[in-house]
Amino acid sequence: MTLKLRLLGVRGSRPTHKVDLLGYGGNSTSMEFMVEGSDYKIFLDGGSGLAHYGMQLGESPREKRFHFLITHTHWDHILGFPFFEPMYNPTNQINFYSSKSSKATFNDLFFGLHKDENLPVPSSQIKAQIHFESIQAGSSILLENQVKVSCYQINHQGITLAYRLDLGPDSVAVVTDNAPIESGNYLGEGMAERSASDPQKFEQEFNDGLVNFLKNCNTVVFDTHFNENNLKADWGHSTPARALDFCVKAGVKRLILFHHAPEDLDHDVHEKVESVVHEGRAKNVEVVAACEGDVWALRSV
Amino acid sequence: MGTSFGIKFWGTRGLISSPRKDTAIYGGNTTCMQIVYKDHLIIVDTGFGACNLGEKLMQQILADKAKLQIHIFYTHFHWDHIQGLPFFHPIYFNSTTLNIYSPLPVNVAHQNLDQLFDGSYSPFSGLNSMASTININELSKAIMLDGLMVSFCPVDHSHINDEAHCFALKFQAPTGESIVIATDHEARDNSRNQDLVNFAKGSTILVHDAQFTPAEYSSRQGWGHSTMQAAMKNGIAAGADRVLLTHHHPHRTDGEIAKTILEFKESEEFKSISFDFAKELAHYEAVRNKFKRTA
Repeated sequence: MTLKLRLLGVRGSRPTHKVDLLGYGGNSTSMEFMVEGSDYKIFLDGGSGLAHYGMQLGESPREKRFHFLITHTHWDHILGFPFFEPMYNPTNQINFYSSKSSKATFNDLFFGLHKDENLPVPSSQIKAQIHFESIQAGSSILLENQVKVSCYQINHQGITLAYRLDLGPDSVAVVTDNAPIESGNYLGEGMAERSASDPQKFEQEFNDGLVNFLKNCNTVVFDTHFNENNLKADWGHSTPARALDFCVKAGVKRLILFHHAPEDLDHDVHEKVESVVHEGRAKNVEVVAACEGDVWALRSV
Repeated sequence: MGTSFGIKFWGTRGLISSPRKDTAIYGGNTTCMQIVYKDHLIIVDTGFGACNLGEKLMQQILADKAKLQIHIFYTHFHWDHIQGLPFFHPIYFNSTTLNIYSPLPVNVAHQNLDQLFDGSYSPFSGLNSMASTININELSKAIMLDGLMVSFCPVDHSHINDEAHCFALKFQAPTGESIVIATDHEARDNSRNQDLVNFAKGSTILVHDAQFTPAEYSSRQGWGHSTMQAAMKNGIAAGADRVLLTHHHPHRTDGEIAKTILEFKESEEFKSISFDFAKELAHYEAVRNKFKRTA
């Protein structure tokens, strides 16, 4: 049995369309984890990449069970859900796993997408059996008795989760939105409080915790919205150099640079790869850029 | 920007952005248009197409230190017509003033836009937390913007409790040319459609919803969108000088559109009408009869 990764949307902040960025793709965050021979599907986030895939799947795909791992509820990660057609078939079962932030629950926000004034499809049209499960940062679950899913709170507004999936020798982790945690740049809910007594210790623990979370993972998909020259740390995003640093420390085999800024054209993304690919090679980490539609095997040999 | 009256498309796609190689020509961003009139910045709807316009305006804000006065008119508040506003960069600058207009009450417009900026869906803390000055106005009757008359008409799309929530907009220059925009409207045989045809009578450019093919429409009646053919017929009925078809379905490819254009040009029914499928980044001048072909 193998686990594979399919990238459905690789763009951050918003979907974007310009002729010279279509090489890497303009759809916003979504990906599929494909378990060979399974009768279920696993996705992470529902940006516009999911919308197009969901319209292709139609209301009655072969699989009847769908699991969604939600990193957080910003637009670019959820705006595609109303177009995921399997939601409109009563024989389908859809499970959402998300963190529980203090502000609003994922299920309120999910149904909020279907408000009369904003979408001509009322939530009463959603016929699939939908379950919402909240998942605690630092915990893990076993999906379908096969895939181990663990999560870790990363440095982004609200409670944003990184996910790691393990299936036998195959492993992948996704760190979609994560700002450098330094100089008091604590964006996640609860982080300011936890750092109050000893900020330095808190930062060390956060960084060590993330390295530990990624330990020996085959492939890591990591937020590299910015580069070292245009980094705005309080916007909640990272850079290729920082992503590589975590991957080197964790002994990761492959780093996929992800969450491309909507302004970045193909050559900008290419430059992002160039900026770290040689250092990565020297330190045994293969560095590539996330490209819409790509499928990756996740086995370490 | 030139001084001739016209319309530029920044987003032509309906429902959801569709960035693909086979949408490269007609566009993959959701709805946004710019009315080009003197030196004014006038925008209709802020789907994701607005973000590329915003990027362009940044040159004026940063290099020229321009204080931008931007007018934004909303046809309605479905996601694909508003979702670009939090990523419209001029909104982050205190040198910018956004004058927002919609035929709906100010509190309804405010609520619909404010939720885009709420801390759950985005990393902001409300529309009022933006650095720019934002004025929301209810269009209760036609208004004048430096000689440009802006009026509206309810269309057949998105009725809530039988009350119209979606509108066509008309921009009429002092010299008489007019651009009518009906991005979301289901053209079918009823009084609402007749109202729109009357509203668009003699327009220089009619921008019209053309989301569906007849085959797609047959199982989607009542969804609030028109076929390309029905849109063309409305253009003929209104006597528009030129019809621009927009709100392209997310599936629609450049190739399908090119094929449809050829079919229309060869058909008895449409061959004498000047029309185009709206192309992203294309600018169409509103010049009377310029495009009219002789039958």
